[in-house]
Amino acid sequence: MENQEQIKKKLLELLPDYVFRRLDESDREFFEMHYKEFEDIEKEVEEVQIFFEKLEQMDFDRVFQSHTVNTSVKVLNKMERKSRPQSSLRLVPKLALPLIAVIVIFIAIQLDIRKGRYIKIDQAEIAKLSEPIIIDSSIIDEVNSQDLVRLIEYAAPQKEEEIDDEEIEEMNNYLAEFMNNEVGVNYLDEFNIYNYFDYIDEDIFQEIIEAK
Amino acid sequence: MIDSEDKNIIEEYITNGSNNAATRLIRKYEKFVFAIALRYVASYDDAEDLTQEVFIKVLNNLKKFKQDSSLKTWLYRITVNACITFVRKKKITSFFRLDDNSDVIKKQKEFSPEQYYIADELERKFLNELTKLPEKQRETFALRYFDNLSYEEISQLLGTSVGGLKANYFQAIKKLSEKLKSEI
Repeated sequence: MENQEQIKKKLLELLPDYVFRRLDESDREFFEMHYKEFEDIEKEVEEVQIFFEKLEQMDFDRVFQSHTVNTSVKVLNKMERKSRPQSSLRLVPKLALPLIAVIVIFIAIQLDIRKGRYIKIDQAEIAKLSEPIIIDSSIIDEVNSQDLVRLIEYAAPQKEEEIDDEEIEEMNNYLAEFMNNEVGVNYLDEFNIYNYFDYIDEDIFQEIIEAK
Repeated sequence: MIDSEDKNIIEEYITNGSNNAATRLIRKYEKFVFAIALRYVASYDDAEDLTQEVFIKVLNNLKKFKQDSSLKTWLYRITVNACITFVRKKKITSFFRLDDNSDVIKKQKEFSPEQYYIADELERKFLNELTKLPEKQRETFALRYFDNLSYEEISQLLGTSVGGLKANYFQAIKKLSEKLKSEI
């Protein structure tokens, strides 16, 4: 039984070479003597035989030949080109990018070092900042609501007074009376003349200033 | 180990740097190298480029060849190394591409339609199925069937026992005949 298994194992190993006709005489005789004892091996031989016949029809040599035409010429040309002395300038495009990258990294590192150099951390100041802020409640009590209102009014942006046409007309009437000596200069004080600076003629304004 | 023809070519090239010797060497082994490259990269264009690259490497390093193995096995090792490096580089570059990487890598294992213009339907299908086999099975089959290497030589190249190679050889043939049974 064991002998049969050993024979079968050997037959399987020899099978491809048998079909492809590459067995030496002794192995071929052994194969032919035994392979028909095993039905499955006999079947394998038939199948591999069909495969081999198809394989033999294929012309791989032609396929490989068509892709290796002039390989020797191409190889020798390439070798000749490589052996020629080449200008060192050819390295410039290859080295440019890595060189730029190195410079940028160097500058970045330098900037970072300098940045670190000017920042002096005073540990005592940091300790002070972390201390809690104590608010004197007696000061808060002194601030009453009126103070707060004043403070808000003071802080609020002053709204620019708008001058309408009626006021300008009234001003012109005053000025006309002043120019005709119908009223004195003090009469104008009732009206804040400086608010109307932009609307008063320069000569009139100078006359008012002189009169005052 | 090394055959006399190869020995003469090597000596002539080393002593004279003869282009004639280089041409003889390339013509003798160009199909062998191309076929290996094709099995690994599954692209005719890439296999052509790799073939040229391998011969440049071989000619530049011919002085270092110790001649304790056949030139064919030395060539095989150089070609396989070049192919592995090439495939690795291609995977890395395709990883950084914006298109679908998995698709790019998958395509490396299949011939694109335009690459079939030379091969007939029969060879095309066979080569396509061959490249899909596991490396050991594929290489054992190719080196034994196409290149007529002995099991001992293949064993040295692939680092597998002779018994293991025979099993691989049988498995490769079984799979190929199975795959191609209906198609061819």
